[in-house]
Amino acid sequence: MVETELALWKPPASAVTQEDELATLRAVPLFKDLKDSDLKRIMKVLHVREYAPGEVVFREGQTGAGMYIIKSGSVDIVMHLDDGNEKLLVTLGERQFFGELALLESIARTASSVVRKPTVLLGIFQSDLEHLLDRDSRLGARVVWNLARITGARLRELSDSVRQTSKTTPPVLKKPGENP
Amino acid sequence: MNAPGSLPAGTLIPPLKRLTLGEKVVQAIVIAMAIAAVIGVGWVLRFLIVPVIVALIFTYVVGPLADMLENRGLSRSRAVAICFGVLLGGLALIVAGVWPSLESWLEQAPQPGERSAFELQLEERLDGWQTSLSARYKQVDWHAAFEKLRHFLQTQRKSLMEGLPTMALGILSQAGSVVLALIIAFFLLLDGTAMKRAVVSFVPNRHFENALVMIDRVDRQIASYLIGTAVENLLVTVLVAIPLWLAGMPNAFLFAVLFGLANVIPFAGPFIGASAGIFFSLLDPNAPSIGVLVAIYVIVHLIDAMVISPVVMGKSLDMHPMTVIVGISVGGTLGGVVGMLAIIPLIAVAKAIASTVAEGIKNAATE
Repeated sequence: MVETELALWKPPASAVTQEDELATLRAVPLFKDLKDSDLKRIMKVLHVREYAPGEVVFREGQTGAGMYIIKSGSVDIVMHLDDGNEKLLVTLGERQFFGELALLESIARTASSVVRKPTVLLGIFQSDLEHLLDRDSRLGARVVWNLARITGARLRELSDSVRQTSKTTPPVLKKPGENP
Repeated sequence: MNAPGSLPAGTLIPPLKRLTLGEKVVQAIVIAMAIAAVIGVGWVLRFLIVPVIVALIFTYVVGPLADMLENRGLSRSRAVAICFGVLLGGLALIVAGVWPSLESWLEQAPQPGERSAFELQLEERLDGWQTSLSARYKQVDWHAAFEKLRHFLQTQRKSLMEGLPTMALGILSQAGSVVLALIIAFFLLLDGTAMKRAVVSFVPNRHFENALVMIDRVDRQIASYLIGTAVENLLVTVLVAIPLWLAGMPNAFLFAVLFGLANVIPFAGPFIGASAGIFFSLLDPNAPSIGVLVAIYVIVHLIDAMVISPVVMGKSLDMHPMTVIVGISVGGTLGGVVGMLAIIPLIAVAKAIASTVAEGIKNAATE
């Protein structure tokens, strides 16, 4: 028998919007291999936020609290360089996500994120994830496992990138007796 | 790659907007008006304050149980229904435990014009003390002193008897608040997450993350305090009840519950709770001696202070003892026992809000 929840307090959302959000979540690697019933539970803790062009979602150095999934629109990820310039790292589009490290730890953001056109983001926060782990440890563990895999993949990408850079940059040779 | 449109050359991130003096004034006025509106609405709905606070306390204490049941595969509504069943069962157990004591008191209640067994015992004790003290310290006018004491007790008795109907009506009127609190708690337990999301949806994007962090910190502070306090004082109640019962204290369970409830108040609570039992033992010849009671209360308090409190409460509030002492004094002055009870979680909440606001200001300065 399928259990139904009492619909006593539900945010105003049409069936179309719900299906839309479900489709967005299905495409996110963080929620890979989850059933629709699980995704619906995750939808309950998501925050839907609308951003105007030019609006900053978060700035580099600010303490992070959670990650964002792009439901519609696009977001630039920008980094400050040591020479004072700014570098556009990537432009993310629909169903991509960013800021996922803040789900694991409240640390300073490593880059800024800027919205370039009207954008709708779905935010999931550290406390929401912890609450999910309390309420449904199986589902929470699956999400955390996916998060660990994504973090691992990003680390591999970073290692590859460092390796590539070291190949293109000539090594600095030290003279005998020179301090490191 | 997208090229940013209206940004200064070579800039990808829009700079932080610095408000002009005029904008700051308008902002301050809007904030002041919003605060005034909240206070105004709070004043109109002040009858809801007590039920909402009771409901929140209940939600925080019972919420983990509902989460645990949900984690076992139950739907949220069923988990909440079971929690309410446990609550009503617990209340029934407490009433069943306290009721025999109340019933025996009611049976001993005097008819109009008669004096209760308690009053006769009290009179007997006072006579005994007067005789003993008069024999030892003859130079003191003990007769006059005890007459004054009897007159004082008589006045207190009269005002208590006259005030009883009002007290009973007051308690009955609070029954409505309790029912309302239970209804609010039911909705909070069932749909608290959706309610929080609905509230957060009104926060502007710029303050969104900070608002969530603040709510989470406040939530954690209150939850850790309330759950810790509930567990600690339940253990203290059980620890006091057993030796009181073994020592033959009449209404041992009632005095243990009183001690456990009073123990919620830091520092002053144990003294208030112990004084009820000690005062009773002074008047009731069937009660254990004061020495035995003091020993029981002191030992249980030491166990609480050295073992239970550090383990259960830990450093959940991370508050300096001086802050607690000053806070309790201020709370007691402003709101009596309720003020003493409420001040610690309020300070914890204020601390969480202040630290988040400070972090927000620091973040706002980040570029």
